[in-house]
This record gives sequence, structure tokens and C-alpha cells, in this order.
Amino acid sequence: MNRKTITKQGPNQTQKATFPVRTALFGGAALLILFAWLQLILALQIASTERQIQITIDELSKLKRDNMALVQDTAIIESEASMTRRAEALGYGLQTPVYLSLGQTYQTTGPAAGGDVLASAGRPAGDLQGGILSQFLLDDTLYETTTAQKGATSPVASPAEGAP
Amino acid sequence: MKPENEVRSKHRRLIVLAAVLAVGALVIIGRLAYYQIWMHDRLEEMALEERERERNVPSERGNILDSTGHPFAMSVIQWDISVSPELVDDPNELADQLADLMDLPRDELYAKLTMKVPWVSLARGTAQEIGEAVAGLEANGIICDPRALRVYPEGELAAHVVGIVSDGGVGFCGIEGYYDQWLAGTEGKRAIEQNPAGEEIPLAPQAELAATAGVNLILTVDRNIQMIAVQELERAVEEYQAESGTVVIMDPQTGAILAIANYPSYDPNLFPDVDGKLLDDASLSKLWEPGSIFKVITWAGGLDSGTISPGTTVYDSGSREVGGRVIWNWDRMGRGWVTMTDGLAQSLNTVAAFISTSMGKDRFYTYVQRFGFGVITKVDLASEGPGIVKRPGDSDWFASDLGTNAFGQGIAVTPLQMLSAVSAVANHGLLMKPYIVKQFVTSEKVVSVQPLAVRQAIAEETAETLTGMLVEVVSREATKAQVAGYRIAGKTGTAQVPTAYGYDPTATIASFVGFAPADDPQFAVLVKLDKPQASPWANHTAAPTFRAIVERLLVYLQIPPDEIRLAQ
Repeated sequence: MNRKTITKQGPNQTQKATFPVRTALFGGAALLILFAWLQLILALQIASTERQIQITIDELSKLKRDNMALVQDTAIIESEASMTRRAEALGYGLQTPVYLSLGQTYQTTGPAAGGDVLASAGRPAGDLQGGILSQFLLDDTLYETTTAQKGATSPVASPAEGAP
Repeated sequence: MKPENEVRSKHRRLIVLAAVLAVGALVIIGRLAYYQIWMHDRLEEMALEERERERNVPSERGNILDSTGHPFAMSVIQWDISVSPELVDDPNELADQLADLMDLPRDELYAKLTMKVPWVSLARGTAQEIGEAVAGLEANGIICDPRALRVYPEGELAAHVVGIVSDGGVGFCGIEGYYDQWLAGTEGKRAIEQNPAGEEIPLAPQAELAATAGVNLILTVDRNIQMIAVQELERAVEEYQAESGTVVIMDPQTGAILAIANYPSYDPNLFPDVDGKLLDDASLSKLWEPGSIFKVITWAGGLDSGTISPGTTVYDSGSREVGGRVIWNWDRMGRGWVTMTDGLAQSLNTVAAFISTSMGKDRFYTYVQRFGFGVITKVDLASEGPGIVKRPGDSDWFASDLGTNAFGQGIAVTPLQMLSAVSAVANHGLLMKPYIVKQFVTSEKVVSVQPLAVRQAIAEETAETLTGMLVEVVSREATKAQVAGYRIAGKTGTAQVPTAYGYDPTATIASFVGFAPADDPQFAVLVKLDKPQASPWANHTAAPTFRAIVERLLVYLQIPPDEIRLAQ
């Protein structure tokens, strides 16, 4: 009995002694696989993100280059020479301003009054013929500007034209 | 053999085999240990040397903008496209694709793609969209290199102000030359890893020292004012058949340069093909004997030192001897008793010589120095010249120079120096340092330049008195510079052209310098026309050009006539 008992206890004792080792081995292996898998996943994600960053940087560079080209195109279109050509093609020329202080009354109805105003500004009344007349206020001063147009009829009656 | 012996023999062979294998394993382990442990550092270093490369990251060159923010100079990317024919997979298909994208003859492209050479260029300086499209093909053998190219959208307009940049990215002349290091920025470094074929591995870790972009510069120059200066100068050179000319416009209250125009000019976009002689900015580097406009300085010195007053009279016989040399009036005529105002208005050389000799050489040259002649103005533009001022004590100075220098002969100045000096008169006698960059702009901050006073050249009262006299000059004599409704202060100058054998009897340099409105000067303008053929006199050439510029400036700057402005 005693021998049997011992025999029975022996394997039990052995099982008790080897079980944690095996579990530990399995556990360790599982953890190792888990970490390896995680490592692989993370490495893949890092690589993928790096690639994405690289692509984004390339796209940004391309956008910057495109932007520079656009700024250049705009600058050329808006250059003085280009704008002058365009303005001339549209029939615009240099402005001839007429200045009046607010105290003065500017009459657009009579040729005599208009002529006086122009004469006081030191310019012959004929300067305004065929020009566009506009008025604006700046720093308490009434500004009159005319834009000479080649062959265009002024939409605003200018004093020089003697409109009623 | 007995089975026992056979077993024993097998065991022996197994032992031998095991021993051999063990030795082999030991050798391998030993070699591994040798490479992995002893040689580890060295081999790692060698491997990295093979794989790692350091590449320069080019910095973006800063832009140059006018005072309204419009670009005068900027950088864009252009592409150099080339091919390694040996690496091309399908030359037929690639030739078709490239012909469509690059708008080049298909046969020409095919011929290049099938050449038996390691490398051949297909196109240089290709536009951005074409370069991107070709790079987007990702075709084997095609090499697309982006390259920064400096462009000047305004072309000739402000060529001398802006300067040029060489193919190597180095700035010369003008702003590009003076601020080259600021504009260029700092190159960056990037450590990359490459595969055995030398291609960059995009996923490899990279250490990067970022490039620092160049500083953007905002100028005091207004492109609309610049346009006025250029147009009127071109018109004047053509109308008066001048050889060349210069116009400089400055804000006398701050020293800010509003425009610099030289004729002939050049298009900086075509730089490599431009004649080198055109690159110099005549307003800074071309010396000339200013002639009568220098009388402004002589009169300023005379008035400020108390030697003369506007009403001082002197007898003008038409000539005056100074240091053994006879000085004549421009028409060799005497005018009898004249005041100093008359003398300035009629531009009498004898009166100028009277003033300088009355002042004495020390005082006269002190004032010449006070107005900044003989030294550079330190304007922030490349290639400025100091001019030539001979002083008493110099080996080449003679007593007669005191008389001739008084009316601008025997002294050489730059247009900018002259305008700067007259601007001091306009600015209550305070000489300002001319400057052309008003703001430095980086991604982090904006630094504004403050105007800098050099010195009080003459007293405020003297400046006001002289301004009044200069207004009389314009209203009485230089009438072609007059603008109706405005008081203009100014002075003509018709200078002889010095040669190796004396003065050229057939040519003059006509100039006019002035400012407006006289009571509150908003701008000072210098016009200089070299060897005008239509008329040798400044009053017939430079003065009307000055008036044309001033008329347009008054409109552009919205300056009402004196009557209205002063009534406010």
C-alpha cells in the first residue's frame, strides 16, 4: 500500500514540479510570438507612416513648386509692362486730375464755370475732351480725375463739353 | 568483418566526422565571433560608409519685392530632363509619351533614347508643369532634376536696382549683389541611405539639418514711380537723342530711394547674354563732373557760413581769375552788379567762384565734405563709387580748383551723391543716408529699417533761404521745369565732358535736380542726360524731362496744387 501510495504520489509530485515549467515555456513562447507579431505590426505601421510622410512631403514640395510657378505667372501678368499694354488696349491713358477745395463749388453744367476751374488748375479746358470724369473725396479735398480715352465718349458730362 | 568490429569502425568514423564537424563549427563560430565581436565596429562603419550619403539641401533664395509687394525678383523651379538610354525599357513607347508631354519632335526624342551613350540631355529649363508630368511617368532611365531659377517678372523695369544672379546662384550688382548672403539663406544637410544602385531608400531613417530660407526684401522703390522714371527717361533719350541717361527719385525726408532708372538698361532674365557694360548702375558708379547743379552746394556753403546772403551783390564782368586761371560765364557775358539770387538763377560761374574764394578753401571743402562728396553714401546697393574730390594739400589740387569746383568742374560725383546732397537742402539741411530696403521679412519676423540721419549739413534757416532761391531759379530761368500750380525748387546743370585732352567741345551732360512741393518736399528728382544732340542745354532737355516726371508724380502721389493744399 505504502509502495503504491508512493508510486501514485511520485507522478503527482513530478506533475506538480514540471507543470509550471511547461506553462512558462508555452507562455514565454506565446509572449515571444505576441511581441514578435506586435513588433512586426508596429514596424509595418512605422514603415507605412514613413512612406506616407515621404509622399506628403513630396506632394508639399510639388504644391510649393506649383505655387511658385503660379506666383510667377501672376507677377508677369500684373507687371507694369503687361498692365500698360492692357490698359492701352482698353483705351485708357494717363489721368489728368483737377483739384478743388471743398469750399469751391464745382459746376458740371456750364462751359464757362468748367473752363474757369480748369484754368485755375493750370490746364486748358480742352484737356478733358473725350475723357471720363470722376470725382472722389480724400482728406477733405474733392478730387476730380479724368481718364483720357481714345475715341471714347465720356459717359459723364464734362464742363469742357458744355453739356447743359 | 565481425559485427562488433563493424560497429566499432562505424563509431570511429562517426567520431571523426563529429570531430571534423565540431572543428568546422568552431571555425565558423570563431569567424562569426571575429566578425561580430572583434570586427563589429569597423565593419559597421564600413557598411554605413557604403550606404550612407550626405546630401545638400538647397535653401530657397529670398524674394525681392517693391514697396507695394509686387515681386521684382523671385525663384521658380525649372526642370532639367535627361535620360540614361541603356536603362530605358521601351524607347518607342517612351518617345511617344515624351513627345506628347514635352512638345518635342518624336523622332528626335527616339534618336536620343536609343543612343549608345550612358547619358544624354533631353531638355534644360523645362517649365514646372512639364517637368512634373515627365517625373510622374516614373519611367526607367529618365532623370528629372528640379533646379531653382531666378526670374524677374518686371524685366528691364528695375534691372539696375535688382541686379542679377549667376547660374551658380551667386548674386551680382544691385540688391542681389549687396544682400547676396541674406537672400541666399543657408544650405541644409540631409543624411540618406542608398541602395547598391545609388538610389535613395525612402524608408531609411534620415538625420536632417534643415535649410534656412533666404530673407525676403521689401524695397522702398515703388514700381509705379519706377515706371514713370523709366518711361520719361526713355522718352527723353529718344527725343533729345542722348547717348544715355539716369533718373533717380528720392524721398528727401527719409533718404528712401523711390526709383532708379538708367538708359540703356537690360533684361535680367536674359542675363548670360547681356553685355557686361550694361550691368553697372550708372546712378551709383558712373562719375561725372556735375557742372552747374553743384552750385547748389556752393551757395549752401556760402549762405550757411555767413559769407553771402541772398541780397549780397557782386560785380560780374563775365570772367574772374582764380589761382591764375580765368573762369568765364557760360555765355562769356558780364551782367554788371548782380545779387546772389541772380547769380544762382542765371547760373553765373563768376559768382560761384566769388563765393568759394570768399569762403576760403578750408570752409568751402568742409561744406563739400558735409554734403557727403568724396565718400560713398553707404547706400545698400552693390558697386557704389565714392566720386573724386581733390582737397587742398593733395598733390593734384591747384588753387584754381577752388574756383572751378564751385561750379562743378574738376570734381566728380555720382548722381546718387548729388541727389542726396540736394535732398539735404530739401530736408531742412539734414543729410539722410540713402537706403533702398525698407523691410527684411523672414518666416518669423519683420524688421523695418529706420531712416538714418548722417549729419546736419547746413542750418535749417539756410536750407529754407536756399530753397526760396531755388524756387526763383525755376520760376525765372529754368521755366521748362515749372509745373503749373506748384512751387518747384531746382537747378539746371550743363556740364562739359572731360577727356584726356581737355573738355570735349562738342558734347555736354545736361542735368536737372530739384524737389517738390518746395514748402513740404515729398520727392527729389535728378535727371541726367549724357550728350544730348537735340540741344546741349539742360534747360531744353533735362528740365522738361524733370517737369514730365514731376507732373506724373504729383498725380500719382495725390499731391494737390499749392493753392488747395496750403488752404487746408
